[in-house]
Formats: sequence, C-alpha cells, structure tokens
Amino acid sequence: MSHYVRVRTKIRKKAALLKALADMGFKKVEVYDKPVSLMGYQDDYREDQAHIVLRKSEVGGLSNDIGFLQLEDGTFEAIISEYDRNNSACRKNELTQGMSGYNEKWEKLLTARYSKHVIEDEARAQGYYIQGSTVDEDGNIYVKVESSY
Amino acid sequence: MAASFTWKINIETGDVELVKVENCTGEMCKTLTAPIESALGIVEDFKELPEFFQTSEEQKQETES
Repeated sequence: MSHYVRVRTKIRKKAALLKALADMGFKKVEVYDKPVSLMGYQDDYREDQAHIVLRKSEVGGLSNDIGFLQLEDGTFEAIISEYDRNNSACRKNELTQGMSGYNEKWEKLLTARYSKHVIEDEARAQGYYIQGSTVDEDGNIYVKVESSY
Repeated sequence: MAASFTWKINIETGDVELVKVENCTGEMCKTLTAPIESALGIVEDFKELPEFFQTSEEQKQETES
C-alpha cells in the first residue's frame, strides 16, 4: 500500500513560471537576477521591486507593471496593483478570454499552468514521455505521462 | 507494458493530485512521483488509496475474484 498525496503548488521554478506566463499570452517578459523597480501608469517608479516583470505596455490599458518577486524561501510572490486586479483590458488569448482583470481567477489559472509545466518538465527529466493534456468542462487540467518501455 | 500516470490540476483549489496509475508498482511509481511532488511544493495531506498503485494485473485479478 502506498501513499497518495495531494500537493498544494507554490511557485518556485522560474522556467515553469515563464512558460505559464507565455501560455497566458505574455511573450515579452523581463527577467532579472536582482529585483528591479516596477513602474506605474504615469511612468513613475514604484517602491515595489520584482525579479520577473511584465511591463505595463504588455499588461494592457492604463495599467501598471506586474511583477513576481522571488522571496528568501525561493517562492515567487505576484505583485499586482489594485487597478490591474480589475483591469478589463487585461491581456486575453484562448486561455484567458473572459477574464476581467489580473485577479484571483487569473492567478489560479497561472498557477495551474505552472503546475502543468512542472509536471511535464520533471517527467521529461526522469525519462518519461508526455502523452498529452486535456481540460475538463470545469477547467481542471489532466496531464498524462508514460514510461518509455 | 509502459507505465502511465495521470495528474489532475484542480483549477479552483490549485491542488495537484495523482488520479490514475497504470502498470506500475509502489516503489517504481515513487521514482517519478516523488520528484514531481517535491518540485510542485507543499504536500497538503496523505491518503491511503491503494488502488491507484496496483498493477493492471492486480486489478484484473480482483475484478475476476
């Protein structure tokens, strides 16, 4: 008898986070070894800093930069302005259509896409093949991997 | 026969669950699942769900019996 586990995802792998952001429509993402200041909608520098930055030109509308700051424990914390949480001009693609801002729903989808990429990356690293992924009517993602024998 | 694993990513809770395992026994499973669980983050809880770790042959025998 083996343990079956449920894992609550914490975003800590930069490569998978960047892939998830690409899934969400962000192709131009700035990545820094040391955190840089985020800019507001009037090109003003904010106190908030981040290692991964989505510039406001990419965010959409009269937005501010969005950032992801890597904390001491290695996890990434999203820095999103109150305005952008309700920014209806948020970037949309086939995954994010219907989103009304960079809100909790958006963050949940980002985390789910991140988890998908972590599973796929780790499975490949262990020599497994990715058979594919599907999404059910509720938006839950299923990832199937297979051994090579 | 190839072993296969299916994970479910719950869009609402963010939880990731291994929901299906085929043609794989416990220790062999762990060689893949443990690194993935570690990479994903915090193990939220443990449950005993032995059927997910049975081989297809074991499942077949149970069905027949």
